[in-house]
Amino acid sequence: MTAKHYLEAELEERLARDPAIWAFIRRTSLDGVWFRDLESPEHEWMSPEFWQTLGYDPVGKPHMSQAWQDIIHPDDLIKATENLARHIADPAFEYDQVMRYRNAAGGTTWVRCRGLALRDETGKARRLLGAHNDLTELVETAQIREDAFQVTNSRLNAVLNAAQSGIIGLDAAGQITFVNPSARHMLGGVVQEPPFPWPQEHLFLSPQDLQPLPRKDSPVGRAVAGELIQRETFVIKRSYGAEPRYLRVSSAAVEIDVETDVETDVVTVLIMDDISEQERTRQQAERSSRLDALGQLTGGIAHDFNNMLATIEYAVQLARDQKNPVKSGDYLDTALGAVRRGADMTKRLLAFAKSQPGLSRSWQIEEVFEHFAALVRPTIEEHIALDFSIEEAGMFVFCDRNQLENALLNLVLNCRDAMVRSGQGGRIQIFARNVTDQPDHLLDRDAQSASVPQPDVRESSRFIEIAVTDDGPGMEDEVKTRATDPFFTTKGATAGSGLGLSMVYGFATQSQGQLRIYSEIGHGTTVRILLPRGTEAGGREAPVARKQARDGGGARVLLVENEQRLLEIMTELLISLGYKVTSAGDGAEALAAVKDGLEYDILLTDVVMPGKMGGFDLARALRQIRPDTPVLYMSGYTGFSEAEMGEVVAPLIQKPCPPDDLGHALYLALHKKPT
Amino acid sequence: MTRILVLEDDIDFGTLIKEGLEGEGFDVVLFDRASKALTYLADETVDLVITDVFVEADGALIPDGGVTLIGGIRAASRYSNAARNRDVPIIAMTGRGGLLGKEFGLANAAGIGANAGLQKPFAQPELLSTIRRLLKPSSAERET
Repeated sequence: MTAKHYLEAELEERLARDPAIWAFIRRTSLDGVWFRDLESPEHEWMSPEFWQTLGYDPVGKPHMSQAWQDIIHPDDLIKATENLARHIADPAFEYDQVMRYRNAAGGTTWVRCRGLALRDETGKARRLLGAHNDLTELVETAQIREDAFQVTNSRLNAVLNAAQSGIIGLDAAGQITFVNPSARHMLGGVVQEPPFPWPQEHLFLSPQDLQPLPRKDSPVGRAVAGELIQRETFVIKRSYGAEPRYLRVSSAAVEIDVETDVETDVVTVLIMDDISEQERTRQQAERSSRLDALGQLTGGIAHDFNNMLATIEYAVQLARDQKNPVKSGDYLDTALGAVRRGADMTKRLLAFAKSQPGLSRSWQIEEVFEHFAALVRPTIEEHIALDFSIEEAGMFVFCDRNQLENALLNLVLNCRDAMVRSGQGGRIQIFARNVTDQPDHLLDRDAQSASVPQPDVRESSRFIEIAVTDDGPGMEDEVKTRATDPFFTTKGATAGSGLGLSMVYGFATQSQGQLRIYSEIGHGTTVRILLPRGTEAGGREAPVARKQARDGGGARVLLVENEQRLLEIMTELLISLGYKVTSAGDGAEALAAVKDGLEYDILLTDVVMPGKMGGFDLARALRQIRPDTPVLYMSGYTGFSEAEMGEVVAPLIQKPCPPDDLGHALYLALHKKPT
Repeated sequence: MTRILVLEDDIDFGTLIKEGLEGEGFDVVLFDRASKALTYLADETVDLVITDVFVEADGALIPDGGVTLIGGIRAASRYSNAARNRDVPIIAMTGRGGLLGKEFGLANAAGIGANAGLQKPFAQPELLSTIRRLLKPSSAERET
């Protein structure tokens, strides 16, 4: 048993004899006190604070229960009456409720009202003592928050409900914890309220065999595992044996706000767009172009088959007329070998013709090239050299391999046709390299206008560029411009449908890559496909931190480029890289300036320029004047040989060149030890 | 013995022709490149040449194929050793006719300086009858 603190005992004692103490407590810690006579319940004393809290003047207010009963909310009066009855019957039941009063201003004052029945020796309740606390401010603040929340919520819901994209929130276990109406529709009109598991009858399927994807490969499994899916195409099953849907799926991880400490049951969000219609149209076009390419191959195929048949017919004939069974067996073996070669070839061609579009995934470039070479080599004329090379081993490209093969075949056939028709050229080079950026904004000024979001400067996506280069006749500008138009062809009515390059373009953009065409009349054509980089694990490579470009340190560049717009952009770019630039629009201008005494540390020149003096000629002429000054060539077409460069053999960079690569190439050329 | 030079880059097929003709009593030399065959012909005399053509639809040619060989034989200097072979009968053969949808025949063969044309595939009897037809007049000449 603990003794009362002496101060507590003293306060109680003073309370009994000094009214100032009670008045102080009443005024400062309570918003109203009342005391009711339960033997004649119409009588009730109410403190002045009782009325002041509600905004009324206490003077003249009668000490009658009726006074407050007139201004209390009728529902709350019922509640108070009920509670009072229960409290009187059972002292353990506390009289405690929030009540609404109409205040003097006509508004509502919220009051917490607590009461204690004072009982006589028999336990009968004689009086009721009560105290008020004003909660209005608290309630109103909460109300405002609630209202604001409702507005935000309904606005958010309106947006989510109106979105054409299906939006699904997933928890860590892969259960659906949020689903908008479009997503419900994509899931076959599912009506369940979240959370619920992904419906088994609408699983993601493998596009190859239409069997359900294993969970780790499905977008649900991948997103929950923390992977960011970037606009990949998936197939989803529909009920009742209908055609499956094609969905373009992205995912975004939900960031947990540590400060507000709000727990969420959504760890990742899937955004899905139904692209079935586009996808089917695209597949149709792809199939046409595939068959088209096969049709174009038949000339070569006929030749190969005739040669195999020649061996077979000749060998069988010899075997039949041969008396020596050992010898005739040899002839038949030769024939058999030719039959097998023929069968291999038909197998490859059939596989190509029938191959279905598949999912994008990572493919090693070596593997892709090897397979493609086996398909295309026997069908291209013997006098055309076909060279495959890669910048470094172990590069992965992220795309659908069947479509990539079809694209490459179309490009190679275009080279072949151009060379055969013109009788010019005889070499096709297929080269894969890493590209650190999409350097489009370097070339296209308009794309830099305010409305177009600029790429994040700290991060950049890496791409694999596959360049198909020939040393054929090159394209006229008009042809170059129209090259990717569907049904545009220079090959005459019987040769092809004109879908080839437009299909390649479609493939590149659909894979979130790009297609670029460079051509120099009389020298050849380079077509480049840029595709996202893959990873050994099979997914697409995430953006990487941008590397710092090498600083020029004020070295003086003599820049020669005939295309005015490019000249300006390159000048700006070089200045931003820390170089001093003197620019010239053609070779003659550059040569004249140097003859007039212009000093420079490196020549950066376009190769093909109108007028008498091309880049190679300029480099040769300048070498007479400044024998030790380094040279860097640039061109969109990169099939030039050292023989064509002539006297001044120097590195050739591809145009357009990402800033990092340009800086690096200049740095290397400037710091190379003289040989 | 009648000596026949064969130019065929498909070694299987070339060997079949060689062995088949050897079985018929001919002396056969086989090459897979025109340059090698022309080196041989600079010092040796042959009675007949059978050569693969490698003709393109638009006339683009393999630099080391039948066209080069035929050109080299027919254009040999009058005063060189090779001049002995200038008028040798030549059979041109190809599988490439299919590209134009036409058979390779005498007209195409004559266009490149050959005396007969054979469309692949063919078998030995067809080749033998062509050989005998071409050898007859010259053998008759030689006999007189």
